[in-house]
Amino acid sequence: MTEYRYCDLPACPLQATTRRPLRRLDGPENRLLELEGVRRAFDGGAGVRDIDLSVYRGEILGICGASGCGKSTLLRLVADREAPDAGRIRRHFGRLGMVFQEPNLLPWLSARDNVALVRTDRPDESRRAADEALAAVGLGQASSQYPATLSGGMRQRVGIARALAANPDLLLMDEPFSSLDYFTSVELLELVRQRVLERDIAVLFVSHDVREVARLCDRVVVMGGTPGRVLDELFNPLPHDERSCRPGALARFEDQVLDAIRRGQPESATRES
Amino acid sequence: MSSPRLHALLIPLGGVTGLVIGWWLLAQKVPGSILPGPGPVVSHLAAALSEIEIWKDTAVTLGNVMASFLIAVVGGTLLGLWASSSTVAERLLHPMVVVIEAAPTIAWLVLAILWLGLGAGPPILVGVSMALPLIVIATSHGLRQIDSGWMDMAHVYGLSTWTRLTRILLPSLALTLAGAASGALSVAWRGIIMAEAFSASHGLGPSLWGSYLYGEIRDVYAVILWIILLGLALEYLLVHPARQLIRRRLRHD
Repeated sequence: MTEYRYCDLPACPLQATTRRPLRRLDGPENRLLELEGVRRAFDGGAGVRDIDLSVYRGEILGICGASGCGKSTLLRLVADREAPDAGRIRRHFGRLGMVFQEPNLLPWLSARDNVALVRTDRPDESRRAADEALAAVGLGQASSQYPATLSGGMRQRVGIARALAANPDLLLMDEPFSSLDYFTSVELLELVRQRVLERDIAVLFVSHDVREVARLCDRVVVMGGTPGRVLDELFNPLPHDERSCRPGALARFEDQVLDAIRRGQPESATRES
Repeated sequence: MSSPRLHALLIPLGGVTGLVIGWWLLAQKVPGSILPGPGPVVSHLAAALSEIEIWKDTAVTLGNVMASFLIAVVGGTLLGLWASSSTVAERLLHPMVVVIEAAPTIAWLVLAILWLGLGAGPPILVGVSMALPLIVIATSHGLRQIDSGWMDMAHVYGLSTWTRLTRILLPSLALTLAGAASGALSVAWRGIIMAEAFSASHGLGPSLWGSYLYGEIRDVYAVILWIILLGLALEYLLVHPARQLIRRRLRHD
């Protein structure tokens, strides 16, 4: 796994590993996902409405917003686990990967078998791909362990390894680092970023942690309201390889995202916060 | 032997001892033609076990029990899976399960003799009729309890129907099914012996009923004791270890 150290110095060691800045591959041939006027309503007013969104190869798109604004619903719509009440979702990707809030591991399978499960179409490759993915998340030594013997953070890393082993074109991440400690989450953020660089995949990254979103994402869609809708779209002014080295600029971008979230909240909620 | 394991062994033994003492005390008050004491019954059973007939009858009954148990488990699991596949299937199957459950065992026996004639068929059908609903309900209930996150994962990664069945659904069901199978075996065991008594010429059922008809009361009690011992052996030597094994294999905790 890449050695990663958070630092404030301009000559950040990260630059050696992420020299090529992440860039979105524009053009219709690189569009992996299109949502047009998507609406999904639930009892009690929750859900999403009027969602127009495109995701392109090579970009990490962050979805941010207050709790209950429909971030996870949006992912479930993309993953085809919910059907929209109105609007259209066009999927132009082959393989889909997803890191869930809970890792959803099967307790009767070892870490390796849980990861290999997503490659049953290529049984000859599945174990090798699983071992590689587990090594990438720092669990090479734990591949034969069962979920009950792993910590919460290790289980989540197995979930991330499973998503990487699937070799997806589009990777959905639903608050994937909420159960991880800071240093592990920074390492895994870097791993995801490298995967995007190497394979030009796209990532749809849902999180309520503005710091994570600002550090990882090239573009941030801020959602709010009930049902949730897109309130704002912000572009990260910093290239990937400068984000660790320019904490001041990164903090300003975080503030912009936070402001956009606050603008979407009811006035009373903003005052309380 | 560690203290908890010793306790686990001693407490059931205490229960059995209490039962035997109660039986002995009652036998002192009641004529031997109605309730012989434990001593004569045990010695009568020991003598019977030295003859080949009781072993042949035991093999016939165990064969009927295993046949009906296997049919109930395989059929019940498949029907439960089908019922859970759609609301229409569930609504279609539910009244049938209720009918099978509601019909008394004797009704099933009479119908089985009408349909299949005398022999091994009626006991097996009665056993299936008693065990199958338990397995269907357990399968259907177990499937409803499956973690929706696993099904989300299976959907996102496009797992095949076979992979979902063998890696997610059946392992998830195994524990629930193991519990239901224990109950199914127990009811099939009781139902089959009763059905054999009226419809078959071989097996523990005819042996028991024949002993009663000929007024061989010690034989009656000896066969009952043997049936109880076999039931306990099935539970503690087969069902319980299998359940423990499944629990260990599935949970790994």
